[in-house]
Amino acid sequence: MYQNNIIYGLYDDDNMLLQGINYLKKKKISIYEVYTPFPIHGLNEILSLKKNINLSKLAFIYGLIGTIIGCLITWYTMNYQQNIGGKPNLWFLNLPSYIPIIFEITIFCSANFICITYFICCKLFPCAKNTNPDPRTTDDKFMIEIRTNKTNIEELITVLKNSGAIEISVK
Amino acid sequence: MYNESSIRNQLIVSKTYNNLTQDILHPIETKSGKLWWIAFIIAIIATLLGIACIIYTIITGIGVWGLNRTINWAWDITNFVWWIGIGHAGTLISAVLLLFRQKWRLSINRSAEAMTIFAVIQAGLFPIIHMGRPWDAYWVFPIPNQLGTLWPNFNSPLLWDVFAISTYFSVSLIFWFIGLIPDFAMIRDHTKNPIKKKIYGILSFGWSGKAKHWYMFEEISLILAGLCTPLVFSVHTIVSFDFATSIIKGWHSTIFPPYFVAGAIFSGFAMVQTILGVARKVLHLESYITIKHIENMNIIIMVTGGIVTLAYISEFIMSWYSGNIFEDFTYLSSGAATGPFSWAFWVLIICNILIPQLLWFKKIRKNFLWSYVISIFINIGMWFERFNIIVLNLSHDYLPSSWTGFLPTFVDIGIFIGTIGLFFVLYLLYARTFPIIAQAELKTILKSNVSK
Amino acid sequence: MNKSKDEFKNQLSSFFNQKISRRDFLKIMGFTTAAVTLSACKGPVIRSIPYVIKPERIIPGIPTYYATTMFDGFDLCSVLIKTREGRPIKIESNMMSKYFNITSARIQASLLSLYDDERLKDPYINNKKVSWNDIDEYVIKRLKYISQNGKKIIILSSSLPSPSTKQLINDFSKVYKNTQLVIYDAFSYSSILDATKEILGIRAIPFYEINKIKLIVSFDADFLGDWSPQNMQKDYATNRKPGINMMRHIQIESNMSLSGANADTRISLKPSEIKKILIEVFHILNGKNSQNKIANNIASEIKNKGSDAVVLADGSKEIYALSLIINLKIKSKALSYKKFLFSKESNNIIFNQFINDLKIGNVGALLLYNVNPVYSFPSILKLENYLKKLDLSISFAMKEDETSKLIKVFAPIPHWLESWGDTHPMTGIYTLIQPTIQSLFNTRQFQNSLIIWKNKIHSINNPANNTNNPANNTNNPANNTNNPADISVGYKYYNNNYINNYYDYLRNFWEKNILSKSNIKSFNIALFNGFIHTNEIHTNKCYYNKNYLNSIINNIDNNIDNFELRLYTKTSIGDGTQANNPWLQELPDPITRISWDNYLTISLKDAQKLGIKNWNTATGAINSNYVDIIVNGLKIINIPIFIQPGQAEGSVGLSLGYGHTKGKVATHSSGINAYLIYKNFNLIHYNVIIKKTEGIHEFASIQLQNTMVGRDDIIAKETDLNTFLNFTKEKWNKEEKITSSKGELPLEKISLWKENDNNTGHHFNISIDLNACIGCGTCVIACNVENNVPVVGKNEIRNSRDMYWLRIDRYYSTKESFKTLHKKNISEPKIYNYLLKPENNPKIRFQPIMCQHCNNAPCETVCPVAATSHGKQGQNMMTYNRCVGTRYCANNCPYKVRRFNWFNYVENKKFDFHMNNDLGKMVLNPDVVIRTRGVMEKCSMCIQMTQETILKAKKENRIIKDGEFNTACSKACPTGAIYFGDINDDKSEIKQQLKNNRTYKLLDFLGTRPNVTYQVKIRNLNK
Repeated sequence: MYQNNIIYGLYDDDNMLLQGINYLKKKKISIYEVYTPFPIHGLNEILSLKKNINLSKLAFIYGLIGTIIGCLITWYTMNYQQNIGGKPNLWFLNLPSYIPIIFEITIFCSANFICITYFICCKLFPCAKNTNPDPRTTDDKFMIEIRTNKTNIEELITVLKNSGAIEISVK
Repeated sequence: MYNESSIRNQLIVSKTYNNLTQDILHPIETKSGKLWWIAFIIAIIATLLGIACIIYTIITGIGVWGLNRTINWAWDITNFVWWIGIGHAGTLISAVLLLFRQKWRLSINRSAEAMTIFAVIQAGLFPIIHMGRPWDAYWVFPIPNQLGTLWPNFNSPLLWDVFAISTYFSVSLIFWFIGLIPDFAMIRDHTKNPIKKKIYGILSFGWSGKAKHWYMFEEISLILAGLCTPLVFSVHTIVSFDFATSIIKGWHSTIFPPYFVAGAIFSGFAMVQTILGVARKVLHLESYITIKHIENMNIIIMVTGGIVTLAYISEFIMSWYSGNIFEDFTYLSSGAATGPFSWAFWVLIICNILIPQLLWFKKIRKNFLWSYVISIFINIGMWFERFNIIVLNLSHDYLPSSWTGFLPTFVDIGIFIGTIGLFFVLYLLYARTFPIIAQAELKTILKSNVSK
Repeated sequence: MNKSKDEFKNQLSSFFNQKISRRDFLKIMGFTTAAVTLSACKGPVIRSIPYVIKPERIIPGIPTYYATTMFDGFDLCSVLIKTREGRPIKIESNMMSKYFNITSARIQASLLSLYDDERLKDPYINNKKVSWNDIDEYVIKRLKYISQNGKKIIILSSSLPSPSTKQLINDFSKVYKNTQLVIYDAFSYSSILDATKEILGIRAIPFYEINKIKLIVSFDADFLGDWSPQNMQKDYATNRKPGINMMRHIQIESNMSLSGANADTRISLKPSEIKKILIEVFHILNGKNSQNKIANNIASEIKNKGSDAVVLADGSKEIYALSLIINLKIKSKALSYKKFLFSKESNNIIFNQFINDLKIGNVGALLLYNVNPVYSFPSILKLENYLKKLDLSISFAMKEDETSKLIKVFAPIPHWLESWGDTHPMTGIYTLIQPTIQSLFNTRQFQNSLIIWKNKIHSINNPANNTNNPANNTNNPANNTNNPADISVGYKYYNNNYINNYYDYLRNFWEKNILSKSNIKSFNIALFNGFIHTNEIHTNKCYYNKNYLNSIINNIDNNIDNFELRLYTKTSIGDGTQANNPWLQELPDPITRISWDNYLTISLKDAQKLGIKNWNTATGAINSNYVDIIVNGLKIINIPIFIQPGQAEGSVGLSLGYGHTKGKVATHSSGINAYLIYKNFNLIHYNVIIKKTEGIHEFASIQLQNTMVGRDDIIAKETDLNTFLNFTKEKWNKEEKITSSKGELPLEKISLWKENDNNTGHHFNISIDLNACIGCGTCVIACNVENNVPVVGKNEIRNSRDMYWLRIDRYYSTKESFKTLHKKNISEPKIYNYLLKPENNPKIRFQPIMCQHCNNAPCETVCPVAATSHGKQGQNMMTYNRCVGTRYCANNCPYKVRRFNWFNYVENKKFDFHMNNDLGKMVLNPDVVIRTRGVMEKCSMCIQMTQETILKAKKENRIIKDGEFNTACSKACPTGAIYFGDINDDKSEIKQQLKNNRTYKLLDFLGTRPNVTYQVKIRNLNK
């Protein structure tokens, strides 16, 4: 029978975690997930995490959409031939008046949409179930999750132990 | 990983990750103290007073305020600008200081941001209730209607305000909330109360601290900081446009945008000092909010206060040097210094120019009590700055026949007290239920300190 | 019933049992939805009565105009009444008439007293509501008895220049013996009348044609105010058109009056000194020498002008007589010997006789018509006691007043807008009064009562006859059962017992006596015009004797300590007849700018001596001390005191007409009844002792800064005649210019973008001639009436929350200017110590300010909801519905003309004025919307009037002529200072006004491009 084993290794220090990951990588053990209580710099390089989405570029595009919306709103609404304070009716001539609003709409769209995108990418939403296997990973512990279909996992456990894990559990 | 420069002193001494977790959890897990309850009840009473005054205003009419045909704005817009200004520090600390990689911000940014949000709520109240017909306030939004051609007037600085404030509020809120998610997750995982677990579970959006999430979290924080920085400058610039683009002498001034932004930061940091001064004692955050933080903030107050002083001087000189006789009665002129509002003028000068100069002394700058007292003076001074800009300039306008004076009514004062009350109600609730320190982020810099 | 119930049940069950198709379902849904929606649309119930038969001339929405005469006992004017759907809503001057055709603030406002909720609505006897028949029975019995017993029946009336009523009283006195008409004016003109009688031989007020002269010297005569019933404003303004022939005006006075405010040279002196100067001037003109410099100067100016000068004077009979003698001496062209004014008939001697009669119990019946002696004649003898003792006292009044509580019979009279009548205000003019609305209440005209009582005298003991009488209490000519044959028989009026109502009497009288004097033969045409002109002239000779002259000259009051008090009437309240009129109470005094109050005016130096202060509170509102004064042994306590620049040292002033104890509005004002001091009808009282007392009085002033603070050549510009004549515009009306690449260009030529097209269609402009504006406030009231501007009451005025769309700023001159102060090396901020305070005897400039309708309006740009925008015809328009009330526009208005509705002023108990009751609301102009609270309002350039003109011309398919366009203010302005017109009409007057050298735009350097222009005031300083 095909068996999928999940092995967790718990570390109590971020440096130990990074060393451990390097150790595991040398042993050619692929790491499925890492749970940490705070962002650890360099982790993504070590794990060679790839972005499937470029948030910065997306934010720019959202901003651009916002700019266009702002331009369209001001153009459409102020296009009506109404004499307000003798100001010119032509959108372009009266543009200085509209810049603050176009700017604000740009920021609004960019910031809000990028957040929504972020939530969608990370599958974060209200009432979502948390998936961290150990509550301590939000306090001061760090955890590595390894998934393997090998039946003999003893070897893996020893490797983990050697890498500095203080606790190892199997599911 | 951050590499702490060896020259700098440690910000937070001898705290482990777990200490931090427990410290954050402490106010949420324990029952509130006596002091908290007293503060809360006072704040609630003030809020109720404010609500009563607002209801009275809406039922009876704006006439219950002290305004008149010449001074059509006074406490309402003064309070609005004051609260907006206060709001600026939070975003500035979290966004601008993030971009500048100022790590000392981490112990105060959460509270400062909360202050922003709550202050913007107070600020947002005033443009609505100051309207003659607040029930029609939604007309300022470009909502399609059956007339087709009936839209708001995009030439109006007030409309720019509408967009600026709502954008600022929403962006500040999401920025704050994204930062809160990991901390909510921490509380969710460590609280013993099942109901709290449930609530924080909802609020934490299922955060698990996965490596990739952290990776994106850092990126989105940076993006939002990048967006917030121009936003924070734009908001007070636009608020200053309310005055700067007008035709009233004393208002019509090109110096207003930068000067207002500097003034906002000045008052915002003063308010952070005021609030954290209390929070530090009440919530026992002495080890997180250190003298280093206070000193850093004092330095920012000094710098922005210097900019503000410079602006005052240039306004004064401009009104004098221009030889424009209408400018003889602007809010910074000899006319104001000797006229019927001279007391307001001198309160401004003393609170905003003279008292902050004490911060040049290192001893004072590094003293909690002194900083606290000075910050309160700055808050008062900055309120008067807005009051003077609005009321003094309006009171002596072009045609002397319409010159009037101003005296607030109890409703004016009541509403102002009400907003302070509501602000503190929100803040006190926040202090008991929210992770008041951005623990996840703070943990990143804790390590290096501890290991040394 | 049961059957139908079952039926319904069956249907219902079948309905539920059947399978409903989609179509049916939609049908049912559609019906029920519609039904529910419709039932929800039930609107509020509005009480209205449709016309069963629509009157021919009344078209809903189209105003009808009627000519009539405004006469309330104090003011008199030929007017046109604008009525809408049968109710009068506006009073306009009848320009067809040559004289008495200029409305004043009081005349404009008198409309509102028609809709006074406190009017008596029914007749009363001893406070019991009765019918008119009861009144008739009660009164006739007693009248008969009194006249048979030889006691006097006194008709006490205010001036009654009505020929037909006089005739009627004459008829009446034939029936009821011992009837006597006693004229009693609260504000007496007796001294003028007596003086004229003695000098010119006719008991009338002389008619001055001041348009014929070049110098007017006034000794304390407020001829632009109430000195004479003649309207001198128009002639005054036309004669003062800047140019070589501009009339010069010298005013010597103690109080700062409206005339003094407009004078070229104003000399402020105590009343006793004024008299001395007048006598000195008289002597100098007679060839004697004088040491008095002022008198010499004045006399030499008079001598220079000769018959081109006129001397006016006021204060006492002697002073007045002397001025007439001087005018005769210099053969003044202004004094007309052919025409006299008859609208005032006050006679102190006869009135005093009446009082005497009253004392000794000679009076049996007292008919009070339009007088309130308990209020206005508060003498030591206590009228109250005597009035109570009378056998019969009848009040012919519109509402309860101070006298009412002593009166037994109330015979309420209608307002003049509901009445018939006629007047003979001056030689050659007869005017008619016609009702413009059906009587609102159960009232009966005074004249009708007299006719009925006269006719019924014999039938009263025989009740059976009463039923045969037609309805007596109506003015409606339709009820007229008069047989024309009766008139043709040639009855004498007093025998004409067939005429049972005053309309017939009046018509009969006119057809017999008045119409024959003119070339108008039809009564209806006369009624249509509202007046007739005749060619009557007087041919009197002056016959004063030397002895009389000597008695005047030698009657100098010597050695006066203490203060001298000069009583005066205010522009707004006058003699107090209309004290219950909220419009007038709120109208700020042109000079002091204080509303809802009267006060003792005092000079700054005297105030300092007495330790009296006026000071501003934090809101800017003015507070003052109280004083007690002792005049002729009479002590009056707690009079508010106002420091008036220009008040002569040693003198004080107090206005009449305040201090009522009856009337909701009148008592809202906290004034002092100055009639207490008006002893023997003397305007001037010597030896007045003033003492400061405790307490603080709160004034409601609309203007708190009184000088222009050195902005004199920017705001209300002024120059003297010499400079105007001899120098170019650059010197005295410098145009603001901007240096550009194309050289110096006027403001209008420079713009960042292409300006909006203002050259097609109509483009309205208002031009205001500061030289012609005398500050009388007529336009302010006219604007109030036309545009439904609310009255806000004393407190709100004190809070600087007046609602005036049009205000008249009054600026005092300062002793120093920037130039003189800079020369003295005085700089900021000390410079303002000099500029904020007016000089001791300041020159005054008036400046009417309404919305300037800027083409580049700062208010429009800042409105977040675009509630205010620019019209194609030049108006800055306000969309009340759209306004959310941010008030940014009001802040950003450099002219501060926008008014915010701080509260609901309609149907609000806190503002218990005319808009708080159904009757008062009838005065509202249906063409102008009532603004709700929370919205901004302001001058609309009377867009409802211009639109009406445009539509009318469009219907008639014609081009609009110049002069057809009008605003309420331009129409009402007595001096023609306000022009309104279309600048795209090349031939228009307004276009010419714009080209005038004196024209400038207010604060135009701000780039607002206003559509209102001003014209520089010119002062004829005779340098």
